[in-house]
Amino acid sequence: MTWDAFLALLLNILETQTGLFHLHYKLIIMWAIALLFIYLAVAKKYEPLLLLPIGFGIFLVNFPLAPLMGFDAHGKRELFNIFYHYGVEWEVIPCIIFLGLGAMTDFGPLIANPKTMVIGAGAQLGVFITFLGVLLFGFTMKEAASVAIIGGADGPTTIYLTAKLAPHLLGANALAAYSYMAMVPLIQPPIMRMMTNKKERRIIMKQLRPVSKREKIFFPLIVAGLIALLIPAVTPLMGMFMLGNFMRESGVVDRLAGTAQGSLMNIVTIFLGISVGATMQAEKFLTAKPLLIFAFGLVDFAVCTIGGLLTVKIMNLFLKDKLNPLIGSAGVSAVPMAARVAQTVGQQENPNNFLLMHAIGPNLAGVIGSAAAAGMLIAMFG
Amino acid sequence: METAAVDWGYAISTLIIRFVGIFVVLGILQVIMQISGRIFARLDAKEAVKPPPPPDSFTQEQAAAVGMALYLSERTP
Repeated sequence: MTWDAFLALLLNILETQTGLFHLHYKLIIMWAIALLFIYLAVAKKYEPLLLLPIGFGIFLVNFPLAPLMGFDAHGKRELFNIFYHYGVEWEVIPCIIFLGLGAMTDFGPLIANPKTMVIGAGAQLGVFITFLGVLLFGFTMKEAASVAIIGGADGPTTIYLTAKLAPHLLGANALAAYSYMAMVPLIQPPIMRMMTNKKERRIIMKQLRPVSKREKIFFPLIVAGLIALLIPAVTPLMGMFMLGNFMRESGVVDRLAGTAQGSLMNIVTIFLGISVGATMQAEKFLTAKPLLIFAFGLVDFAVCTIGGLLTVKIMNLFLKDKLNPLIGSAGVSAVPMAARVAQTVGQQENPNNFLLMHAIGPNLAGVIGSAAAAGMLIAMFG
Repeated sequence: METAAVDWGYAISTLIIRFVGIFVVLGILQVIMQISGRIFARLDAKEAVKPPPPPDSFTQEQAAAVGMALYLSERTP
């Protein structure tokens, strides 16, 4: 073999069998984005359970020729494509995560004070306002619906809805939702202070009544039945959520409840994170839309927080035992971070005011409310 | 970015209906929870005031037999 022939062979190998000749500035931008989310997860501990696998997924999928998200020569799906197809496209993973969340959740504070249920509805205000705002920027109705649900501050719901209505926006929507959920302690307090006065923030609420075991057992049955009847589109999510909670509260299947909230939840979280990250390939992600999604996501969160606060203020006009309006901000879901923020801001006004358990009620109502909003949007456009 | 043709009248009116719909759904849930809470509280209160079942009482002969059995069991080496 001549030297020229050897060089030609070497070049051919480098060109067709390595990614060296396929590197592009867009890929390098995506690596930077991936490393940013990995940094936020590892160094700042912002939602690490999801941002870490998402970040790594983005990193891996943006190497040229890496057989991860496409189809091989025989038409078979590649590794991440399998996770994405069977986990997210088939809408399995968000529902399994809801099963685990249900098994983790104690609805006692919501059952003890059902008035707070309505706060979860008021805190969906941003979802609908953002929907209109996003439409103005040239998004289609389905895309706008998938972006709007970010304000519901519920990761699995956002992923479920986006996978149904606008799967090409999955990466951006999921990242925006989880990033802003991690930033709830930064986003909400200024809005909470702006929307309330000192006197309102100092309101001390009556202690919650104890909730019997029987009530806790009936609650998931009632919610599942009602949601399946009134918003059937969201039954897969809410049904699994309430099944998990029923397993927990019945007390007869501790092993199943333990698996749902432990091992099973951890397993699907890994696949969910990788799948979401894998959808963020440079050619699909680097457009104006993801930037707009991040901007609208922030507005959405803020308006949802305002909606929750306003709902409590309106309720207080009619209630004898006043509610502290700070608990309204917890109506955006983001369990339990938003409730903790309400507690922290309340204690800054009055160190003897313990709002945490009161805020958990609207927090859980927010989960039901955002799922209901998702159901409404699916019914409109699905 | 392409501009999608949007029927704004439809979009706004259906959104208002859906937003109110969420209030209606959660409102119904609230009412059901309040009613069921009262029912369960009443049931729990009823169970709490129920007098405890009377302790099983022995006849004199049975008491004597138990006493004898205990005495013999203690005496047995």
